[in-house]
Amino acid sequence: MVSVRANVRSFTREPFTLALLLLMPVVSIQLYGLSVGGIADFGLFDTDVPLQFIGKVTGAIFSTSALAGILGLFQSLSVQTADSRLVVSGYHRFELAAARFATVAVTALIVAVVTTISLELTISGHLASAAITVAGLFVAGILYGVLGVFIGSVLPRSLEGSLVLVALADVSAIVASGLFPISDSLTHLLPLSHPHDIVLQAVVEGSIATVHILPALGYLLVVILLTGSAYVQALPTGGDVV
Amino acid sequence: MNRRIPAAVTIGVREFYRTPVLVAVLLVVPVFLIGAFVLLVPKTNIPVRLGETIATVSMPAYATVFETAVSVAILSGILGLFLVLSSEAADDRLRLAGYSDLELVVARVGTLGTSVVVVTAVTVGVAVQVFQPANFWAFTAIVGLLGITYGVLGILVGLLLDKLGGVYVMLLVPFWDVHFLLFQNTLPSDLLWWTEYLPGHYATTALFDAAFTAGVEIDMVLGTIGYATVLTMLSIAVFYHITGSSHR
Repeated sequence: MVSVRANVRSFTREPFTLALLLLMPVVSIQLYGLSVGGIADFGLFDTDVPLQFIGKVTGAIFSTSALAGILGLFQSLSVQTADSRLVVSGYHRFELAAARFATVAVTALIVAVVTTISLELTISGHLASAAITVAGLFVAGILYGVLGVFIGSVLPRSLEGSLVLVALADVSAIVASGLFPISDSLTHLLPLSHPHDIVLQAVVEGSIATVHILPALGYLLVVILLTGSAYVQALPTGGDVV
Repeated sequence: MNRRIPAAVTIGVREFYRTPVLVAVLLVVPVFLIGAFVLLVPKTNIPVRLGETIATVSMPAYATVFETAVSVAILSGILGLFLVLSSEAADDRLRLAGYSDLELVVARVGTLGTSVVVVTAVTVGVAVQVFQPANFWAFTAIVGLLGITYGVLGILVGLLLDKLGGVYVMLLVPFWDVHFLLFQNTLPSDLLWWTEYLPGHYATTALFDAAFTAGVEIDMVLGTIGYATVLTMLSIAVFYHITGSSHR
């Protein structure tokens, strides 16, 4: 718990990170809403929901995943040396991996709450269910936060790792938006498809998209297992000298 | 000719070679961004605004041009940022060896220029595998100009912010600017007047002209060059201000 609190504090202490945490969701939601909502209907888009709504939800999903993902990546990079030393001093590697995931979860929850408030403000009180929206965004945030830790474990470089992460988040958010008639079998391969559908239904109808809950959690479980394994492998064993 | 500047450029370029992961990412990102959209978008035709006229183009061709712009903007921006963050210590050593601030600025601009040429060649090389631009050389030149604009922006951001802040800004601004706001500008839509002031506006408009027509509006090319020049001047002023303060 001490480690989780210290990690979350180390990020929230940075004024620029804090400013980004507050501003990025609002800016992203507004820009995506303006951009997608302004396009004339010439038969390209495959949706019954107003385009501006789709744009704003896509902006919310993108900002949540990019923010949580980059925080996950930087967190994993900044604690690698410290964690290696902790292994040598007797901590179990799984204990440290669990602490990383707990930090990612706390960060993702903060990002999801801030993004939901931003979404509520930008769509002027038309958010049908704030609680389900927070839950959907939390799933997207934790998924990308964990992916950030995964990328940090297999590609331990901040610039290159961030580039890979944001490129994936961008393509995933656009494909998941449902704007284009792309086969579900392809869109559901990307991480944000199920969380996007959960958030969209929460925003528009205020109900739980039950059909997407299990696949989203299954996807999350697979990513957590892969990441846990990569993170533990990247740490030295207890007998190694660091 | 002063041989010190080419030597500093060579050192800067070598710094990139020494990070094979960065080189690999530079190759993979254009393939991923262009490839993903070309494969995923529907194979239909869409109307596109080209100057004063509306033309019909295929969605995969549109996506290729768009993702070429996004790839080069994001990669050049990150390279500019990387250049500043990785060269601080080297700059201090070069100063000790007698380099002036002007020589350092010219050397860094030279390194950025060389890197942007490589990024442009890779990105256009990937794009032409799936799409043949109507005016290949103009298309390539404008991709390079967009790369310079974003590369200089990366340098400016790297001078002003720390690594985490710089990464956020240089990864998100190209996506917001080129991907979303200019995506809207090239389709029939309610134009947002303020998008004319974004870094990618002139270059993206010129790029669509070069991709789908034989000619390019000269105003847009001049606008792109002007934008890159202003950003370069601003970066040089910030560089002098920062190095001046730190040596006082």
